[in-house]
Amino acid sequence: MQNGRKDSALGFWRMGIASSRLSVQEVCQIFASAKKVLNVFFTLRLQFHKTPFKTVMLKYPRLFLTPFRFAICGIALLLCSCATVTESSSQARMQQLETAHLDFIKHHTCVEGALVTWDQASFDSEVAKITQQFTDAEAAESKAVPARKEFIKNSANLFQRDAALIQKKHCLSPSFAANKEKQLQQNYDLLLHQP
Amino acid sequence: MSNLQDALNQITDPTVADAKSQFEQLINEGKAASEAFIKSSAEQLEQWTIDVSNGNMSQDEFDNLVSSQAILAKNFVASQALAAQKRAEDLTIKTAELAATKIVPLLLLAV
Repeated sequence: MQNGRKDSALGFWRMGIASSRLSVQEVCQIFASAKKVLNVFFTLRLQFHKTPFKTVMLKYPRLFLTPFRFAICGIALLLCSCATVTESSSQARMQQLETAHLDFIKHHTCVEGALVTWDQASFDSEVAKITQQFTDAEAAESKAVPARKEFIKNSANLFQRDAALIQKKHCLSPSFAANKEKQLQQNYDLLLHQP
Repeated sequence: MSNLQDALNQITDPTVADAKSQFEQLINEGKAASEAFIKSSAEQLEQWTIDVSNGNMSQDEFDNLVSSQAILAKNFVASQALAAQKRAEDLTIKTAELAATKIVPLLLLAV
């Protein structure tokens, strides 16, 4: 009976954890702590049944449910906060990618009357840095939402195309830069301004 | 040149007359679409064509914008899927939270 109840309660945690955006390591940690807390509760509950305090428990049942309530509230709060933190950090990462991409375009836009100075090493380093940002952002996304990973992958592809064009021309026309800015805003708005 | 018609009038080759009218028709249909993504894409494509006809953009730059727009279309599809995935996720997390905070405690009290 106790084991059945324990399995049923743990089943809810499994269901909740499986559907949230957490890494495998985070899920394991939460699951381990949840299991530990529930184990403490069920052990305590079993002990109370066997002790002379049984009558007290019947008279004041709420007193003996405190550890369980703590466990429930703690884990529910943890699940809620993890979901919220993951969502907002993901949005922040996307915002950073958009800014980095837009700054990159702005940085390589031709200025009328100014000579184009080309520094290959600096360009390579700039491209590598932003490429790494895309890679990190994709890796940080949970597998629970594959469309978000797909979105970042496609946006990284957009960036690589722009980098290839700059590598070829060394300088972008102001008209292209203005059109590209609009296009990138349209791209990132698809994810950042979800209904 | 400030509009698409003027830009297209620069092309005098009669063999592409059909392509010209088809292009213009598709742009106008896109601009009239109710979907924001399609509307914005059509407006941008029109602007790129005008910029090229005015000599403000090169062929390479135009090609980059067009091929990038194809990727944007993929992201548009991904964003639609994302909205559905988000809804499913919200529903499952909320269900689990409800079970954890309301149902299970009362269930255990009742047993």
